[in-house]
Amino acid sequence: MSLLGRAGRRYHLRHPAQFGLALAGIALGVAVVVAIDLANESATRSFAVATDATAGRVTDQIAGDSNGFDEAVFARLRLGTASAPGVRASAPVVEDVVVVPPAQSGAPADREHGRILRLLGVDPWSEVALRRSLGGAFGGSAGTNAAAGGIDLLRFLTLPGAVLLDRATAKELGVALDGRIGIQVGGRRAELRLVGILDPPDAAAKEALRRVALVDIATAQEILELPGKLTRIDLTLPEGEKGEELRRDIRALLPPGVRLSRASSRPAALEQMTRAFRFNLRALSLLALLCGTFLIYNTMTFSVVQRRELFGRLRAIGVRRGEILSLVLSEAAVLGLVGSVLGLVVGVVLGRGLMTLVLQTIRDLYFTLAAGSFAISPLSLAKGVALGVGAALTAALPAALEAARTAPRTTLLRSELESGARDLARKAARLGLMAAVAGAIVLALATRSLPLSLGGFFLVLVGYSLVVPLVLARGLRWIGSRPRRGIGLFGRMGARAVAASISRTGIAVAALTLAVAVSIGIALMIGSFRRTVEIWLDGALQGDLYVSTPTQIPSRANLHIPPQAVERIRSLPGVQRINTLRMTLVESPGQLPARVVGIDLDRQSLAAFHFKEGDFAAVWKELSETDDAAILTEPFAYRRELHRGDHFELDTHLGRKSFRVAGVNYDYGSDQGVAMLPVESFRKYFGDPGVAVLAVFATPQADLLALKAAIESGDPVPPAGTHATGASDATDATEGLLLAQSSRALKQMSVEIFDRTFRITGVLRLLAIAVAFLGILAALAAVELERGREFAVMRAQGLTRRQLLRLIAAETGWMGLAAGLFALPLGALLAALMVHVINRRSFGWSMDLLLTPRPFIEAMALALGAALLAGLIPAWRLGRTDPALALKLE
Amino acid sequence: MTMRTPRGFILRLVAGGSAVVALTLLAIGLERHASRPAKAPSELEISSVLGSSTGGAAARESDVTGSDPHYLRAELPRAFEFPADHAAHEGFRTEWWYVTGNLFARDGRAFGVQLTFFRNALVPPGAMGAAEAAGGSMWRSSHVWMAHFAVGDERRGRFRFAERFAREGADAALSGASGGSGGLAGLPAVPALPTLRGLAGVAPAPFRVALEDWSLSSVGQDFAPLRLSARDAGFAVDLTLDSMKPPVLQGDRGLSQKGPEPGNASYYYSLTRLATRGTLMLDGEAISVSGDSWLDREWSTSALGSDLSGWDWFALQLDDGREIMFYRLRRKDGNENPWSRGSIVAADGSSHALLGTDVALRVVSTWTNPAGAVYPARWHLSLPAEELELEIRPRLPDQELAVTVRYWEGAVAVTGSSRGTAIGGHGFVEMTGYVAPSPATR
Repeated sequence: MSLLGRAGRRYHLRHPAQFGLALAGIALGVAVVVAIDLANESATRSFAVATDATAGRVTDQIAGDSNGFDEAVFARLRLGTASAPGVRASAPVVEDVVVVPPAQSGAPADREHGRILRLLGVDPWSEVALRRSLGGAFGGSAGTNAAAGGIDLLRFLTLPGAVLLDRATAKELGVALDGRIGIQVGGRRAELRLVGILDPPDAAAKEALRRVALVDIATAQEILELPGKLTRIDLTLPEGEKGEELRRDIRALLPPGVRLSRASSRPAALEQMTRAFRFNLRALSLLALLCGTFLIYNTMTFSVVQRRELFGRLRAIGVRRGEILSLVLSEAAVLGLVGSVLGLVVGVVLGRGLMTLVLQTIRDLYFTLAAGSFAISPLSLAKGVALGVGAALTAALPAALEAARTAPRTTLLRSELESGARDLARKAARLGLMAAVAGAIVLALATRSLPLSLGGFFLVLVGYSLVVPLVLARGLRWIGSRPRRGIGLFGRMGARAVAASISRTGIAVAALTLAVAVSIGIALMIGSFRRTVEIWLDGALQGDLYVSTPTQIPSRANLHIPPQAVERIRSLPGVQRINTLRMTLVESPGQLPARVVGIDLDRQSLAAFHFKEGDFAAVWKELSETDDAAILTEPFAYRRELHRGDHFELDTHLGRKSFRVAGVNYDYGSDQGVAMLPVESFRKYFGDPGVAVLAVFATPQADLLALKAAIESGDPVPPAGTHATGASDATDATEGLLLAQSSRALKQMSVEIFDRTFRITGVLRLLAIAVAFLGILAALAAVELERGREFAVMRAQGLTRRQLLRLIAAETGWMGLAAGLFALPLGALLAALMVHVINRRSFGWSMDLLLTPRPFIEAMALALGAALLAGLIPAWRLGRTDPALALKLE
Repeated sequence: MTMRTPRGFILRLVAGGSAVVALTLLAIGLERHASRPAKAPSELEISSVLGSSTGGAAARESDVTGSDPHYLRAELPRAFEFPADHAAHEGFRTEWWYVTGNLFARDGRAFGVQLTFFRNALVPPGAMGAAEAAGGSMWRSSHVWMAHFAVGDERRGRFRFAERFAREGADAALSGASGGSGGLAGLPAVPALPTLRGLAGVAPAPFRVALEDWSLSSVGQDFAPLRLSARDAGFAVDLTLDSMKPPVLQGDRGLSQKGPEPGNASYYYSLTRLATRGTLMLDGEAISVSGDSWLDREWSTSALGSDLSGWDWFALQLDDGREIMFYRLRRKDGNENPWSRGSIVAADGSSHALLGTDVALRVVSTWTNPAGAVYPARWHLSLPAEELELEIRPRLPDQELAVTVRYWEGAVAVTGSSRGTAIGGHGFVEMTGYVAPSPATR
């Protein structure tokens, strides 16, 4: 190591707290970024794996809507036509999600809802034609056939309910070979029989087959009650012109409503659906890094200031500017590197926890099945290190330049430095104003782009915080300059001291402002959102009871209430009327997947709609007079840029069909949105998949508890007491398979899901605050340590320890107070931006901004608390120091 | 072709197929299969399942081995009835329709064509009734079909083949060509959809056996003439076959005994000369051809002896209007099995059986396949009683089908003398059990 390097190292070794705090700041920043990145990647990967398990080398897929399509399409595909030969590399698939009820599963996570299995029905001979290895992720050369001997294929093919599971899943379910597995399929029960245990040859295969119940296609049709239907057909088509020709031939074979699309488009759609959500998470994580960057800036600037005499001397003995510059920068690089590596370690641990939250949110928001496993991607780690080192170097650059500028002979006086800093603060404020204005312009212009909107948001944020030091310095100087009742001597001294060392305190206060404002913004945004959803739920949940199958899991075709149960419920005493809801998912190539819902249209139900575009009378007229009018929920309309009177296309059973937008209503049920059709048109265009949800309107005198019990028990008549026996002959075999919830319970559940959804946002908010806290701690420690001599003089002049403490408390108190005050308007601004701009552009929801006092008060307390707490450590250290010793050391 | 040794071969094929399926399920690619036959352990496992049980849950518990009471067995000669016997015999486990033909273009170019349909029952008749009733899935089938299609081109030196599997629909009836009910509502522009049943199966009258777009079917109400139609990547045939002779009942009035135990036999008849004309499509080139085909029909349930390693089967059509069928069963110890049999058919359609001792067969040269297995490649066959001396030469050395279980099945040219007069002809030869592990061993 060079002499210069040794000098640098010596300096940092003598100031371990300083160095350690900067390290912690960068580490925490990097940790948050890496954790979010890993969690996002793992979540995304879990979709990919779920699709890949069956996709394998599949290039294309034929699919209809979520209710499947006629299996004869497969026969036609295989037979071909006179001009086009049959397509050999094709495999029919019937799949859906089923539930192993809680009784059989043990893990606490699954106890509540049961375990979800993916029932995958395949035709083994077609798989041969497709040359597909199930699990797909692993190639043909992998593995051995050693396990093949354990599979009784004859039973697999001929025994109804025969299933193959991989060893891990079988173990998880606690089922042995030949054992039976009770499952729940929508509103029915069924039984599987384990006839073979698969030992996937590698980890990827294990992952792919995890919680997959592999059955023969006949078994799948029987269990899922989808006779004659396929979920999809997988194809392996060649690349290039030949493949395109084949695709044209195949398209010509397909009936309306059945589509050929690239296999990659499915996970891509999911990826697209969750992109906004993940993007927002990433933005929040970068915020944490930003706070960490402030910290580095502080540390490096401080270290340069402290060493200005050294640098002056070095310059005097002939060290060149470039060498000083590179010395400081390489110190920053080391700091960044070490911090980043520490951050990686923390990030991996943190990421594991965050992934659960991310997946939970994705499951709740996107209604998708994703059983993730945590994977550490080297790319994410590399990104983290690059960001950390990059941030450290950027933050250290001003300090490095300052060090390099040091004149050989002179050593700058602190006062000169500070007046320079005030110039700098002015410049920063000017820059900040410009940035904020630019951000506002970007926000105004980029009306739909989420990345640009977030960019604008960041500009406003950073711009505002750059103005903070100048305002802080001026404000505190003004306060400190005149005697004022209430703040006392120490208050004034503290204010002046903070203003005097603005080069240190300005940045710290800016960082704290940033973190606290973000905290206010997020809290306000969540509060506004929550309130909006509550109001919407109150309006939307008009029924007395809502009946569904108990597991609200993503299931393509079998979330349905058996028709006989619908009729039974309709005729139960105490039921005035019922409303039904049918649902299908329409996936068309080149389009977002569209959820289409068929609703019972009556004046009472429609009156409950809260329209954003259109009004009751007009919508009612259109819906009742034509069969191509639809009500869109706001996110559906936003994503497709549709307005009342516009037309949009959907692939229906009758071919591609254009629908007219009769109205757009507020709805917070899904961020993808739905298109609603009256049930008659829904049946016409999408067939009848069965009732997914049913709203019961009870007569005024009905006993809701008894009614609920009757619906859930499957009894024809509500029992006299509150509990049904379910033993009556007349039950419809749905006992225990239907769930009737009061609108109150449903509302409560929805709000719970909402809260769960935002848990991760809350966690990130805390992390950002933690980094900011470290920042303020480091800044204060630096300031106080630097002023050790000043304090020693004061002590020597008779300042008591208690008084010193009060002085320091006043200084840090001012900083905290300032940060809190600055954060209040910024927090409100951020909340407004998040509510009206970011969320809308991410999810398409309109919300009302609700300014409640609580987040502001909390933020104020947080800022003050953090600042005072951060001041404690230096105060304690200084208080212990012997003044004489401190003076001597100087 | 074929099959003098029904159960072993068909079981092997199906077992091999099942092994592939098992491997597939286990995520193991097919490539290893292309390069190597099914590995012994899994194969044995599955064939033992196929051999020892009726399949299905109920049957599995029954501890029946070898002879299965639920399937019918070929134990006694029976009365053959045509055209009914051209269709399926569902009481038996396996059955096949085996067409081979020597075809010639106008310029003399010679081609060999093979199209074979194998029916294999997964469970005995009726065993799946409850299951079928349970869900009504058309895929809940008691039969799996396998088919092989091959075309050899002597001049270009190219032999192509393909293999397909499909399960039969729940109803064995094959509803005509591919006219199904249009399952979907209101679709004007698109032709009616075929039903799943159209994918594989056999129908009695009019006769049709098919697997996807490979089919053999009666042109009119009578069994013959037949239309044979199949296409795969780069090769296709569309042929009309008219039978010139009545069916020949092989063995003892159609009961073809393969071993000493009763029931270790098949029912076996042949249409030994089918005048054939039509079109071959090779890489887009349409070639008009004519020639002779041969249809072998065989069905059975039970097994071959465990001492067999394979067989060589000959179906020869001589220029003087006679046909010779002969199979030699090879034992693992290298000796010939005493149950080798054959028949000779006169120009007028009359026939008589040949014993192994009636025929002298000598291998003249050999061919080694890419994997190193050595096949006979030229034979001298003499029938002293007929003063018949025949040289049998493959039109192509490599007519091996590298399918689930590898075997050699190819067109041959015949030259020689009959009672001192020069004679020519052509035919087909099938050889199994030359690729280790032997397909006929257990």
